[in-house]
Amino acid sequence: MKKNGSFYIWLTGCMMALSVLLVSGLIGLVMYYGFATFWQKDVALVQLKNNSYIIGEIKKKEINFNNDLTVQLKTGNRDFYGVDFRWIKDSEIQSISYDKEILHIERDEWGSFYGYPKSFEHKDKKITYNKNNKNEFYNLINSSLKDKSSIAKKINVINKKIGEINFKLSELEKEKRVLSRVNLNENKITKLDEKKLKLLNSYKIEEKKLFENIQILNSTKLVVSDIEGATKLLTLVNIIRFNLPNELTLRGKISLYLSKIWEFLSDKPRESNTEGGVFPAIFGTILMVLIMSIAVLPLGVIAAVYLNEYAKQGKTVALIRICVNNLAGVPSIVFGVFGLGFFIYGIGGSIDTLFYQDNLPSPTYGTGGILWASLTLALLTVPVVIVATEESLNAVSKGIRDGSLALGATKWETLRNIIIPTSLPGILTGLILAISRATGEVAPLMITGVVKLAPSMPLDGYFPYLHLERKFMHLGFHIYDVGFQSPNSEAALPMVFSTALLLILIVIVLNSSAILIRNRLKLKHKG
Amino acid sequence: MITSIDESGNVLIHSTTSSKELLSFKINDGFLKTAFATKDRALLTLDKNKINRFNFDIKHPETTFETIFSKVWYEGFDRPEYIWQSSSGSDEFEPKLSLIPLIFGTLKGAFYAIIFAIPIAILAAICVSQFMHPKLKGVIKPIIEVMAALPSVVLGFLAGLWLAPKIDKILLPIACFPILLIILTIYMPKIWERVKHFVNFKKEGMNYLIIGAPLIIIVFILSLFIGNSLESIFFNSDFNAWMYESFQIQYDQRNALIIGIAMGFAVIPIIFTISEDALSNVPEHLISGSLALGATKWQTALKIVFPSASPGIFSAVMIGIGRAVGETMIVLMAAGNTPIMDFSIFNGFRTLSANIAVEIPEAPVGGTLYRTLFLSSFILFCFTFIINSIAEVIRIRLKKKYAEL
Repeated sequence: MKKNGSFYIWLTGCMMALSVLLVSGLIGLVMYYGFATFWQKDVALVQLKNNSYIIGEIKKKEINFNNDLTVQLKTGNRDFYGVDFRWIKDSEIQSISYDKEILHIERDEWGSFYGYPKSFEHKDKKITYNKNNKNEFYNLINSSLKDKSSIAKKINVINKKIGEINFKLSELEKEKRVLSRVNLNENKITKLDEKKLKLLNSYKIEEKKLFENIQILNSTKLVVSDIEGATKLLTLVNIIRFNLPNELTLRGKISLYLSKIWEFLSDKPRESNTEGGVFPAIFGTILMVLIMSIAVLPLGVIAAVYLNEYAKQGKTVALIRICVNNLAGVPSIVFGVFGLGFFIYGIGGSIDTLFYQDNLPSPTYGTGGILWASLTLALLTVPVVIVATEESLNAVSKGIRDGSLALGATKWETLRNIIIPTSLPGILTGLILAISRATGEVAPLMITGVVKLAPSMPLDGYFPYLHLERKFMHLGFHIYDVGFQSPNSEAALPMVFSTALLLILIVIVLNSSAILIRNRLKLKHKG
Repeated sequence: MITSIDESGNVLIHSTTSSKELLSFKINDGFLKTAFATKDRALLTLDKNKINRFNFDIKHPETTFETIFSKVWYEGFDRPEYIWQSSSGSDEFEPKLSLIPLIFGTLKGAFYAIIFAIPIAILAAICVSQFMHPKLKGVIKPIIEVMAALPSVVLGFLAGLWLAPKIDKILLPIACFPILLIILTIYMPKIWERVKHFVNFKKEGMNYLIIGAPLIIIVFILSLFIGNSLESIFFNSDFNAWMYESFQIQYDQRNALIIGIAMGFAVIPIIFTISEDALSNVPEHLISGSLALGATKWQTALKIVFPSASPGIFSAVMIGIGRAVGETMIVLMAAGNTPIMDFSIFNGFRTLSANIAVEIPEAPVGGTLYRTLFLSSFILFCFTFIINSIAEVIRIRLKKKYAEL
């Protein structure tokens, strides 16, 4: 046994298997919880031995510290009970049934509602719920929800107009401040005041329209009650979506599941980020990565071309190479601190004193923003691009170079027409790896401009369209924020898992495409 | 700060924290009374006919090299101590900015992560490089490398919100798992001898996956079972409470064990990839020579391949340490962030990196805390830079050596 070392070989084999298990287990875990978030479970009606009832989704069973088997129920109705979850001893449970009448409503505040409908009032039509008019009742709610989406569109348009007016108003204020500082033209100031008055008037008109529309939504009322009979009045504004979970067919559940995934990807977050979607975070991540790529690609490629093609290979270049490799190993938080000190307070502060004097002391570029975050990440990922580019430049065979030079091309022409095009896939691999690293990085962003909820996107319809100074949302930070900073972290957990899943999928897809491109490249060079 | 004035009008200002003389100057004698303005900004003296005011602006009065790196006797304490406490509710607060607890926390976290990662990563690297069919290797290596791409925020979140509460409950089973795993590997060759005839794996190394992986899962379930029964038989069903009662070992839910596992995840792929490269780049003729002389595969791996690749493996470990030292999100989310100095695996800690992430958004620009945080990131930078440089130089030398062989 000692000689052939079969024990040791198996030890290495087991460790290899263990590490494969660890990776797949972790990814499997995130996938399981992440995909489970959107699945509508049946809602149980639990009868306790003391003859009271509880409605809720059964989440898990666990043995608690007293060695009792307990069941965790998601009871929702936070406005009734103050909490979303309840633990009940298994021994206290009399029976569990799945009542088909149970109604589940996703609301814009207070989380989910589980209970029974009472009555519904819509456009001076009022019906009281009973088992016979069930279909009519829900059809009416459905049609009013359709109305809601058309009204919501109107409200969106109005909101946009109000946003425009606000923007113009703030521009006017700025102009006025500049004029009053120079203190020359009384006439102009009165003109500005007139303009302002006009804008304020149109603001009032839009505001009135907005209130009218909201009034329509508020006039549609749904009265519901929980299992204990406590009633609650919901207006159309409150209701996001409703369903009868125990009556849903498999097909209905699947379509609900898909529509929830779509909401997750395309909608804004609700309820302090614990519900709804993550679209602003996806958008912020993509935009940041794009700006970073614009910065990192020329920097990395030019540096690599110089190091590999033009610099005299000696001790200095070797030292620079070691430093570049080392830069990849420097902790990301150190880059963040550098970004804060150099970009934000250094460059940003100077930009403010030079160009945005009117807004001081509130900073414009002198605070965290998407530009500074992207540049910080560009510094962080530049070694990745340099190393990958150098590798692919090295791989261009000497024969091709010499052939080009022998045909009379200059060094620059050879570089531009022969070497760079052949090594383009390698450069692309480097860029993809850099993007994947940047997508997952959070620590430096936390101090250079990421926020939990950005009031406006960094890219919108107002001049200059791309607002580089704005703060932004980011998927990775979303995970940290919702998981660790939200007051209701238990209820937020499914959301965190889904966001983590999304982030992992993005990163894995990016990485595997980089690996694929690299492998193709290797094959091509071998051939 | 303490101000002392003698009768001839010599004023001395000392800092109570650093016991350093900050300022000494002379004022006119013949004053009747003196008063120190709050927040240590000015000195007022009352002459016979007027009040004099001396403004002073002392930058960072409480900080010297000693206050940051050695024990300080703070107000209200029994003895000199290392303490990090940068802020408090009250105005008369004495900031305690010793970086030692944070450096200690950083090294503690890195230590446990490396302890967890080294055996798995290096042994797996030996397996993949020596005992595996190249085609299978082409599948396994990227899978483990995917681990390196996992965002650390995901690892931290899983460690802090999923793993920590779980391990809290199944501490003893987790402790049983490595022991049972070793027992399993001892019997593995015998099991394999029996099974070998029934299965036929064309690619070398497939058996570890197909037979090893399910057995590891079975061992894990077994250790859950054994651990739980041990706990209920010997420890009154609560191992953590027993530990506290018998040995006064406090168990924090977010502790070094959790960090060891989570940060191990981040470090394993790094150590694995670099040492695998070093191992599989050992010149082929050395291996063939050894095998031709009658050595077994294992003897070749142990006596020929491992020694020649050992500098590469060493540099892999160094780079792994560098990564563990600088990791921010995992420790921020799963280490509890209490700046205490206790090497126990069941206690939390606070690292330099997490400390920066927590405190720098609140630190007033240019203030003492802000600069101390910059100093701590400088320390981090230097540490990782030195470690990585050593690793890089070793790697370059190894490459040259291989080229010469």
